[in-house]
Amino acid sequence: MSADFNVAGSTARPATDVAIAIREILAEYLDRPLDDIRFDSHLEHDLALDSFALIELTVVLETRLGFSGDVAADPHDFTLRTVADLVTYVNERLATRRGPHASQP
Amino acid sequence: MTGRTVAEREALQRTTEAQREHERRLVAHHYEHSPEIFKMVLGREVLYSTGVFVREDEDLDTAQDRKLDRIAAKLDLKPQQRLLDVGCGWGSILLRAAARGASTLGVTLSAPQREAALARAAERGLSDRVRIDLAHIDDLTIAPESIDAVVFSGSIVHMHNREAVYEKVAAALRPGGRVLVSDCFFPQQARGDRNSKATGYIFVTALGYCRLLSLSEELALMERAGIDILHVEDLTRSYVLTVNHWIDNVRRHRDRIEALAPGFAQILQTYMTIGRLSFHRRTALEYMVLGVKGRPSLNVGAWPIPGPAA
Repeated sequence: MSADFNVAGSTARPATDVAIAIREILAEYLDRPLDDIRFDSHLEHDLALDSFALIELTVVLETRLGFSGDVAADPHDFTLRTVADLVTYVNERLATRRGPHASQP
Repeated sequence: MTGRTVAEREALQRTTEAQREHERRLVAHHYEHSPEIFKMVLGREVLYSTGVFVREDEDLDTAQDRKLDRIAAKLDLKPQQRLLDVGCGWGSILLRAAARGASTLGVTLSAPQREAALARAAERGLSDRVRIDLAHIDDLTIAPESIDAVVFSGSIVHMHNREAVYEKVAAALRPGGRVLVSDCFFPQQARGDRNSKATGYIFVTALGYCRLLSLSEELALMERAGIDILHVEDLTRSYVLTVNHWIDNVRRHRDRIEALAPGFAQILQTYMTIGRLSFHRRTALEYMVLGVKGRPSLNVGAWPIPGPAA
């Protein structure tokens, strides 16, 4: 079984590029200027992202950035509070892409 | 019965005919996508419904094979008996029954599904025992007491006028005939927001039209149509595990799905992620219900339960 779930975005990119890409995708999704999306912006309180929006957004991020989220996880269990948390999460998932495919419980 | 969602309340304002046409147009759309996409996402049997997982780490095809076996055991069709599959998808339930000698009729709103299912039947030499009509159940005229079993696997939620469905089923079934419904339900006492954007995304954006009742409401409709309930099982956890596999498959085949249907992979993954969460939290439930008209030939009391209860 291939370790790569996605061909798109399969070339490794530096963490800072990922961070910028996430901010840009968020800005586009929320239809807000890039400056509004700061790393310390709170997803719920500053950006008004409810749980549905968070799901929609993470699917968009997966599609554009070529990582796979943790299928079995409950998003409410995530400690994703700020944009910075999101960046950390995406970078972690991008790093696990390069390992053997772990089957999800 | 009041509507729990905006879409349901709109449906309640429509005539039966208008609602049927609404379902025909909007529901068909999702299922008209290339069968190749669904083969990639749903596994070998292309079943768009829950598998049955006995162990959490089983693979999807194992769970779906077990589901097909379980449905076959419950339908208990003898050779030459007649099966009607309403919302037959890509045909796996029909094929399994036809292979054992049953005469089968499927209905679907999707021409690509019908074509794919008939092709599978032809590959297996079962064309003389598999007929599929492109139709809404409302369109069907069935001779009274002419069918031995009716199955709705992952389909009945698309049918708003449920009372009429069960009346038609009850009239069509021979005495001793079985009806099996496997689908999603809301808990009777509301958990979570059923009229949320998330629910709307699944029920309308992704799947066209869906109406979920509570299990007790559904059973009441069946009983009022003269059907006795033989067996019910909760497959909610199995559905979580099934959808985990579907989401993984969407990820695995994202580029190919995108090439076949731009934007569809995102819709699939989004609605499946929301759905999966609902089943995980049990704000939506999955049940397989078996009913009988008249005297059953099955002795469900003899079905094994682990330990001394067997």
